[in-house]
Amino acid sequence: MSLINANPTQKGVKLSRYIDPKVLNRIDKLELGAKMVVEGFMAGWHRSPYHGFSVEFAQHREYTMGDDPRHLDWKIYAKAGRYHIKQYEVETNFVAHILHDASESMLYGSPKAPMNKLEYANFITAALSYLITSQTDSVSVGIFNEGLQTYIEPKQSRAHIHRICHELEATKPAKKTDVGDIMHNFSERIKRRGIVILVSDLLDKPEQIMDGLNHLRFARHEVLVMHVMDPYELDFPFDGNIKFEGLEGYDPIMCQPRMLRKSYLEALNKHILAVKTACERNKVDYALINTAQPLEVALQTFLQSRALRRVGR
Amino acid sequence: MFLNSLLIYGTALGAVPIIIHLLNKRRFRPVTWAAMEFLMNAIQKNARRLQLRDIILMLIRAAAIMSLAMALARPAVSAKGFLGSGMKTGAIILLDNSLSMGYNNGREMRFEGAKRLSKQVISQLEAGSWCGLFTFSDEVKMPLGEPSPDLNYMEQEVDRSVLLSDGGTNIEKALQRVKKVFETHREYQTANRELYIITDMQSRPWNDVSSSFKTLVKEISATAVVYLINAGDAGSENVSIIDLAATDTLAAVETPISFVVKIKNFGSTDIQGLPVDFYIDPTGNNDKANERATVTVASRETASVTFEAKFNKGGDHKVEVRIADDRLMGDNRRYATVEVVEDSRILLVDGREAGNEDPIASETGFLKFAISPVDPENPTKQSAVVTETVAQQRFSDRNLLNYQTVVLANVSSLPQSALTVLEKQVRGGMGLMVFLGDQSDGVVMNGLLGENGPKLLPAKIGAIWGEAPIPGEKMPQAHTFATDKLSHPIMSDFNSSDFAELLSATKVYRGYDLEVPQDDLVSVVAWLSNGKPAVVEKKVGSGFVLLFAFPPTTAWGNLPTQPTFPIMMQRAVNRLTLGNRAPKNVPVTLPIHGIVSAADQNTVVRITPPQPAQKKETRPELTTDGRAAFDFADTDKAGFYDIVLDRTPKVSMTYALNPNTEIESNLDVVMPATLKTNFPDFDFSYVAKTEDFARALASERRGTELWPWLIGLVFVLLALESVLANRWAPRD
Repeated sequence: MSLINANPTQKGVKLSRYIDPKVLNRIDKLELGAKMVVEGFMAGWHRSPYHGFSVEFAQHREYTMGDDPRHLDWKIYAKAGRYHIKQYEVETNFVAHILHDASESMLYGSPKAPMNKLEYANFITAALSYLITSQTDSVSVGIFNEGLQTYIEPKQSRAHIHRICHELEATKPAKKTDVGDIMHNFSERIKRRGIVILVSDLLDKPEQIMDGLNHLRFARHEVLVMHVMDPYELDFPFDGNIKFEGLEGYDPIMCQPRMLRKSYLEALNKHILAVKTACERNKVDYALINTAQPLEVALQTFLQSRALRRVGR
Repeated sequence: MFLNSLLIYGTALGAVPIIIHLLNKRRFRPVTWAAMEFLMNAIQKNARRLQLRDIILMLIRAAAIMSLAMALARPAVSAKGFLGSGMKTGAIILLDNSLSMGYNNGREMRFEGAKRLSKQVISQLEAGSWCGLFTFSDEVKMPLGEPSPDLNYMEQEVDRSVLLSDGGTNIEKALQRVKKVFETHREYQTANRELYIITDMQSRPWNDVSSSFKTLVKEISATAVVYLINAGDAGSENVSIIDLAATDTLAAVETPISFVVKIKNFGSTDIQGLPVDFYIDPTGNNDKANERATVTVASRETASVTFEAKFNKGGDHKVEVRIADDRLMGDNRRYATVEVVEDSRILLVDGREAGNEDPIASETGFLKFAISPVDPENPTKQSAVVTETVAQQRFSDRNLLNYQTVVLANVSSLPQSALTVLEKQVRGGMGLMVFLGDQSDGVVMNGLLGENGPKLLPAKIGAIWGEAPIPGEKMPQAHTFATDKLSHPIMSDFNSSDFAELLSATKVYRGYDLEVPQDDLVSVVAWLSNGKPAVVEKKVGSGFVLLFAFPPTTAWGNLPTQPTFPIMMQRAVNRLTLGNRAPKNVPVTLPIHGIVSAADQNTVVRITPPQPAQKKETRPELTTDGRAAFDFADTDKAGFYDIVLDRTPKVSMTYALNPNTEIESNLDVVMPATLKTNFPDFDFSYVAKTEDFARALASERRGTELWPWLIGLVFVLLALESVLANRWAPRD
């Protein structure tokens, strides 16, 4: 299946840069479905949260006051003498909102990774956008750093992919980011329930991150967190005397990292564990993505685990 | 002290870890980083601990390097503590060259061994050190000149220029000199002072010290490291001639004179039949003894032997006594000079009547018998002292140039012309004795001879005290001679209990008050028991004047009839005859002080010491008393010092110099422990003369070497560094 539009996009941004056929070949076989029923207008794999007179019968339930009597199943009444309502499920379109972190910290890329975190995140966002639109679902992308820099309204078209790629390419990272605050703002902005995918290195305080995620959950969005980290950030393999120059306006730190590695990893793992625990508690899908991994492997692993979780539920 | 002091600079390498540490702090590889929060968290948690670890490891490494460098520099701690490495050494070698150092142990003389030790001391001094070599006996000398940094020169010159003397050992004087050098010599004020006392550890010199010696040794050992080096031997057997003296200091031509020789055995074994040879005017070459005697001397005892000699011409004569050479040869010979006079003529001026032989009737009768006694066994034999008597009225008829001494016995007056000659003669060396009596008037005599005249009298004549005895009447109160003040040479013979008893039998009933002035030239010869001076002496130019408070008769006392009178008179005549010339029998190391007449002021004086090589010429210089005098200080060796006044006619003199054998011949040694006990604040290191002296001294000088400890410390530090570095290393 050809997923590539070989034509150059506007301003010279090539779609192929982010939509790698190899990547997409690996992941398009997977079902990217919402675990929860979302509103939609496009029939597909996604179940509508609204039970009604749709195509597919879902279940019976006992009639209660207020139910539309038109949905009474008379056959059951004839057999059992009780009133039951017929419920139907509708496969419908959904809207996926991708929150894309474009802070300065995302610029870090170690020699062990093929690209920096921002580029890696760009690939993730682009790939997911492509997949979602391919399923006739809509996708919106919010690129943020200090604030929400760019918001691309949800659409479902090939041209929409081009625009997303263009905006990703054009975004200039800014120093600071406040993931929690961004999620609060974003939660206010989107009205329809859907899937919110956060692609970020989450270099923020776990409490603030979780506050934002909770806000999204409170708005009954399904939330996915794709935690992008460089292998050096995860392993801290430095030796000798290093002057660490902070990306987000931090003062330089001169130290012997080998001596600090243990403490660093403890602090990092504590952070990851806090985020992960909070996600699990709030039914937020969490995935730690190492940028040294091939993108398709990372996505495939994530989607497989997500599918398994959905079956389990 | 660092034995390889240059390598101490290697401790600067201890700065290497610190420099590396600091350089590392400056060389940082920049890395752009995102997860700063976690890094800051880690640093906040570990910074202090890591910094402390870094510093600890750095200090351990620096200490290890410095310890290694220190070990290579070979530090040492001496008994005086760790000495500063930056300061040079200022050493003084006190080399004992007293007579006892001439002891020969069969292989070599102590002094030769001591010189070898001193060379070894010099050779061990570090380059740049200052060294002064002092020899000490009775005198302290610098045979190699002032302290110098030219150690090679000093080492080479020791054999040639450092000589043994026959002097005694005065350790106190030597240490006083050392103290002065330490205090005043600029090079020693800023140096690590070291004092090497090389001696044979004779005990007497360490005992015969003043009460301030303890303070002296305390001060020296507080400011210098003191090494006491024993250059002696175990042997203490020694026989010595400790004295050779004539029984009479005035010898006359062809008149026998006796010499008493005292020989002491300082050893523990009795000596039987020791030959003692007596030489008169020895030449030093193949002399043949004039007389030989043998003596037996018990251990620690003294034996005496007497020889008699007669000289056939006047002048200075040499007398020498020798015993067989033993291990200490310096005390086996003894020397004496005898001044032989052709004759001694004494003019007795009688205040009453000349020529009266009756001692009762004349003033000079007892004097004549006392001064010129008749030998009862040989009545015709003429005494060496010839007396002539003259009445005071005839005094001016006599030529005073013919007399060595004039005695004025109870004279009432003298012609003025005679007084002028008398004064001149006395100042030129003639003796004058003045006896006061009933004819003498104090005021007149003071005018004729005393304060108001030529100032010859030793005291101002005052009033008469006491009463003269009158036969048949009650005897007046009598006074005797005081026996507790007999230090004057005329009275010293009575300074024993037997003679003092004789002296106390003398009675004096009457006399003149003699007002003795405060004058260095005046001394009281004898006192009476009533506290009044009996006899007073004054030096006048080259002569002596004696003033007696009573007459030489029995009118005012019984002295002339007492056995003490001839002794006293002969001593007095001897003293007056010889005049106040410098003594010619003197101890070694004291300078020879020769007195000649003022006319010889520019005469060349040739001095030939026992070592002819040290011959010297000098010229006398005028003295304040109108005479001329010369000095010769190189008197380290015992023997005869011949002196010739190079004029016509030539005048020859001989001085005899002898060691203080009473001390130097005693070879008993003092143990270091005894010194520590006697002088608790005398801090010294004792080094014995052994085969490996150089090594022993080096060991004493450097003290305990610390390098094994430092090497151990290096290993400990390296191990500690290893353990800590491994323990603190980050784990993957």
